[in-house]
Amino acid sequence: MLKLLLSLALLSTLSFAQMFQTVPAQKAQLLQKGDAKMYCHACGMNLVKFYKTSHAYTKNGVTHQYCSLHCLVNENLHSDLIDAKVVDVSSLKFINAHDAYYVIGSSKPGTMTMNSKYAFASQKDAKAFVKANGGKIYNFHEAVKIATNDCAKNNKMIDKKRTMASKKGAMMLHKLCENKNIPEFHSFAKAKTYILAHGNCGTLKDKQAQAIAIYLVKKALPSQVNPIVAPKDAKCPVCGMFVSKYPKWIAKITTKEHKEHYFDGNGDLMQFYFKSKENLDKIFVTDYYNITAIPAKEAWYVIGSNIYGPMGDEIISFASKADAQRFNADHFGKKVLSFDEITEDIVETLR
Amino acid sequence: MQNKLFYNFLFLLLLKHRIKHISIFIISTLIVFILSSVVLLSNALQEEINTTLDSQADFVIQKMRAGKSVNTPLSWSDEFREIEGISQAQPRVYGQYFFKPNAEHFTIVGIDFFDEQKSKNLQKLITNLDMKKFLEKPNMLIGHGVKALLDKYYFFDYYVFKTPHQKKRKVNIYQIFPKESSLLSNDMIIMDIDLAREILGISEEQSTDIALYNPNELEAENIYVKLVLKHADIRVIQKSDIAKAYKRLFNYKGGLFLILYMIVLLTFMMILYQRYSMVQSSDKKEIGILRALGWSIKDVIILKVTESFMVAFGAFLLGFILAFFFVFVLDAPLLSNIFYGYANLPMDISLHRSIDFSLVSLLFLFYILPFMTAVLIPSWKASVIDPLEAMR
Repeated sequence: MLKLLLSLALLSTLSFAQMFQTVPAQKAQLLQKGDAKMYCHACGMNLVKFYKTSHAYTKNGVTHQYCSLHCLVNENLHSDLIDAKVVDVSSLKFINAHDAYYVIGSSKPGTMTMNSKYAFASQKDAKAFVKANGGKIYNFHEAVKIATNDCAKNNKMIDKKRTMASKKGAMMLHKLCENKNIPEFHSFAKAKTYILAHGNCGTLKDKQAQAIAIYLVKKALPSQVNPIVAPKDAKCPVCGMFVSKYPKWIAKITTKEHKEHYFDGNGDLMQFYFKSKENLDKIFVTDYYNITAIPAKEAWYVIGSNIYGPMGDEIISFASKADAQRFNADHFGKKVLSFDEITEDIVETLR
Repeated sequence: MQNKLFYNFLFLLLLKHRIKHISIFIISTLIVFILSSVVLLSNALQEEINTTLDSQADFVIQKMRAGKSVNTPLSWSDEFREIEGISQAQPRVYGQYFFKPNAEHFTIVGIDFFDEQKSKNLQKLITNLDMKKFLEKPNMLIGHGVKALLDKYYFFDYYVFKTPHQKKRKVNIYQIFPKESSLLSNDMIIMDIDLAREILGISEEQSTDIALYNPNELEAENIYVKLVLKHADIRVIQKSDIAKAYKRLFNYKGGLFLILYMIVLLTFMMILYQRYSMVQSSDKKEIGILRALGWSIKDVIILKVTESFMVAFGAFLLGFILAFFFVFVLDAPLLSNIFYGYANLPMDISLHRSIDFSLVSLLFLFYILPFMTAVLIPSWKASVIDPLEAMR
């Protein structure tokens, strides 16, 4: 029995040992208290798994532990972080963060960020690490500044990842867990603790529990985005071409009388829009990057690019302004416009 | 002239001269059979590949070291997700596992069963799976080829894999996948991604490659450039490259057959010409009598041409039906090996029955036209014989 347990323990450490941030469970110091002490206070990730980038911060007498500098900074923006602690990668003990030497941008992977940050108690160790893995040495104050600057970018990446994880989590909850009435959660760590203790899900891996927790907290999945589908025999009222042949360019207008018009490009849609005397209700255009339906009035448009639609020069639509600007730069577009900025004259020049 | 009596006479003639026509008929049938089975097979295979390609990733990213592909870091997939136009970046884990007893390779594919599966076959397989039961213990799904091989070594319920660290890993056989799944699944083993990582020795921070999906192919070129510029040691494989490679392969093999066919057909035309040019004295007499009865030259030509058309058409029908049976019912034994090329374990698939009518008409034209050209001149020559001389 003992042998079996030992081999099991060995197995688990072996499979974990493959990530640089991970340490054996007995070597990890957990400073927070409570059921969810194993998990990052901000994101719910396993603190043993991401121990080497761990931080701790005591505010109003309560200590919270974080898996990364990003989580610490993101949760405590504009705070002085006086009582912050960080794990020294060499000794694996918590040290005062203000005395630590941070190596930023090494080739070792980061936690919650593309720009990895590891802390050392001694300058000598930090220098040795830089020699082996690259990166630069900073003090805590500078590191926090860098992390704060990276916040938006990291959050965008994390958001994308969470959306995916949340999808998976929903499926896992559905397929694996027998407990179907689960209360609402606002903290990833709490959701994770709950699902592991009361979820009735069999043996969950940390990754799986994390995905379910993300689903439980975020729940509001981005509504399924679908492309506009035109009926086979729908013809564009402006140019008379069959629309369903060009799924990338479909635009659609629904009138108040529930009449539907389909167009094979935004140019034709705009012409119709400016000339039509019908009561227009909903207008949808297709997002260039994802081929999904987006409301025309919230979309952003690029004119004069080197991408041509079925009718030649085209007004190309995007879900976000950033996407439109990126496209504008990539494809030599002339202008990024919102729906209201498109005038009849602009549409006329495209014909 | 073209009435019931004419056809009656035509068939009587054919029956009477059956010895003369039989050899031509057999050779024609054989030629049509070979040609149409090659065309049908390559068409069916291409269709199969097209459907498989449809669900493939638009880009596959590999990390290169010294000209060889090595494991790709997972952090790359985060980077690629940032590129506009990429809807999904999926790290994949798969690889070959050397099966020592038989010196063959299995393909182990690690799958995150909770991910959205792009392959329809896989999706179908997974929706019917009891995930909880499957993931509880180390389980795998295997192809027929693998099953046959494991049976040979008395592994009926499980197999013990050896990891690169010399550790043994017992994995149970959960299910064998249905036969019609696809070209690619015969030597395949599907298991949980973490288990596959362990057996193939791929660390948690790495994957075999990264599959990227891009909904709008107009953006593909642009994304390709962005990807290539991201890293120095990157290899980007585009879906269109794979499609092209397959197409090239099939066109090459199909082209080879076309050339062979053309040579055979030319020879055959020469034989036909020879055969129908030799107007025997009995034939001469026959034509002489017809002419004496008042048939014009035109009528005799029509008779002769229709006669050979009947033979050609009959041969075409029989040859094509035989080919259809050979390819879609018998799964084209022997011939299929030429098209499949190298495969780890013997391929065992059934092809989807599909006939493209433009293809049939093309085959028809390619065969009937040369045939008719070859017989036209001999028929004319025979019909212009002077009746008096013929009956003398």
